[in-house]
Amino acid sequence: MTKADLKILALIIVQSGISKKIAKRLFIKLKKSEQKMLLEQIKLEIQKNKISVISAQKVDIATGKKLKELFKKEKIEIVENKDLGAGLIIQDNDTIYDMSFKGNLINTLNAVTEAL
Amino acid sequence: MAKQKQFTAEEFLKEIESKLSHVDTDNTVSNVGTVVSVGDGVVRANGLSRAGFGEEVEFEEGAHGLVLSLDEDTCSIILLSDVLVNVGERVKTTGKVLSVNVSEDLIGRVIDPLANALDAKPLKIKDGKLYPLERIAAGVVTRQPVDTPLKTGIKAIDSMIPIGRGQRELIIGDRNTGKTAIALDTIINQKKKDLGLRQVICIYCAIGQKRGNIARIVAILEEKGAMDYSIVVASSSSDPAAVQFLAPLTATAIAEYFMERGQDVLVVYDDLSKHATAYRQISLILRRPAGREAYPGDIFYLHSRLLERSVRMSDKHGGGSITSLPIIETQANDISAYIPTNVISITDGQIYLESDLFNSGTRPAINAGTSVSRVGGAAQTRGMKQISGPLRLELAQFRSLAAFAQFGSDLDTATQKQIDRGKRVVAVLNQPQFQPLGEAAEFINIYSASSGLLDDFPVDKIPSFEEKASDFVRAKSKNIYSDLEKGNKLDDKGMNELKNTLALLKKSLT
Repeated sequence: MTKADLKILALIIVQSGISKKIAKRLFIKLKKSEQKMLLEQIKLEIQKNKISVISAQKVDIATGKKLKELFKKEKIEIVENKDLGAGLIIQDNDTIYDMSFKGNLINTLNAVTEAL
Repeated sequence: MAKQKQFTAEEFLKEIESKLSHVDTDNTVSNVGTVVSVGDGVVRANGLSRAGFGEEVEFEEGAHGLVLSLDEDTCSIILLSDVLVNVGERVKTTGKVLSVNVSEDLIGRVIDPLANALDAKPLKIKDGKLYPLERIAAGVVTRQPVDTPLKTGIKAIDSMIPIGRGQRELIIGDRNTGKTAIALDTIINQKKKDLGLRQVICIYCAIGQKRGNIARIVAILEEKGAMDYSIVVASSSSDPAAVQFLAPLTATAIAEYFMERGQDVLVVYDDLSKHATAYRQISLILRRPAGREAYPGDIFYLHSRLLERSVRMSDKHGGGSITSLPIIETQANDISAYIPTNVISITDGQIYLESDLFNSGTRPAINAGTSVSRVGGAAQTRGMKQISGPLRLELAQFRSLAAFAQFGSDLDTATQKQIDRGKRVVAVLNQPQFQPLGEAAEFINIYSASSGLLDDFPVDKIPSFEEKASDFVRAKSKNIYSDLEKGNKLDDKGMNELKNTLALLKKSLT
């Protein structure tokens, strides 16, 4: 199977799901390198459908829903991390939006160090 | 080490406050990826969907890299540091193209292509400006023709293959034929500020050379006082191919800083053959299609865009210039090979060094027949033009008659005279290393041979004649000497006076 075919297959699996029986048969048919590629593509597709949020405080359900609508994603993964001080870090696929106090402080310190 | 400014507490707080007020504290958006494979100095990472070609990226553990290939799902990044990178490590874009922080503080320093000091002294750039390594060359309208000489101090070059400020003159030859020697003599000669022209800032770029060689060159430049106006950008043969690839780009970026401030800069690329080899290595690792001799298809473009940045800017745009002396090493004198022909077609002339000439004692071993300067007389002083016209022809005639020299007694008078003249011209054009000459001294020595004055003077005594000639003329004919120093043409009266003065010296030495 070509890379393009595996990409389409991964998309179908993520969107529609796949039964254990079919998955087993599929993996027997594929070569080892194709299996590896398919798993990578499935991971990427799953990543595309969700956003990861690291927050300094607890994020309520309404806020979580708003974020999902804003980024047009189906799933949201929220992790609490008080080390951020305040604010959020949101990862959408390969883009990171750093709106945390810790991130801002580090940037400010780096900029002042460079300027001095 | 410079004395650090002492701040009072109040001044210190004011300084911090002013820096903070200029700092951008907006939320950051960064593009990240994950390392998929590492090998041979190249990292493949997925993600990084917003990475640009030539963008600098930063790894989680502190390594830095340069994006050189954008594929559908992955980016290929060449590593710029020795920090280990592991599979699964995060990498993020910086939003910056690879640049070098330049200021006058770089003068006298030895740095690597990433502007880290190599000379065991701390490097602090004050009021520096970031210059991108890759940059589009100045447009046609912003340039002006090359008409100001860049004196090398080497008689054979300044008379027959003159170089102008803003020109690209290739130095090409086999190994051990004196290519680097010519470049070093040119750098050393800039100390004189000949013809009253402004100081030339010199940048010596060592690409893939042995560290011992680089150290020797730096020692020579320091000994001759050339480091007062020079910068050395060094990447040794033990450096990664990526760093060797960046070396000439860094040297050119630094040159552009000084050029834009209206200064004249000389850049020596030693040598571009190794640069091409480093680029071939990177391209093959990046799986780019291999062309002739396994070089990538854009090897010509690599050197053409580098050398096109050498320019003479118009007075409206500062009047600065970058003169480049790229060096190419040939194998078995083959100038028709791939890389040599590429660079010959890019540059504004070449100085061709032959190993046969070198081995026979002609040093510098310049083949005047195949060497050319496409700028030519436009970059010569009127004085030098006056006497250098017949030189090439005389040398060419001598070479064609040289085979008959062994039959001295069987030749007619005219042929013998030509051979005698040729021998003296060759002897005068020979020059020891690290002894570049000023305009007046060059004029006097070349005139002595080409005018026929030394036709009956023993060839082996010519070096001692040359040693004394300049000082003798300066003592006996001060006005003539002063005119020659300025590069002026001598009238008939002046020429006669000079001839008589030199005849006196010849008589005293015979």
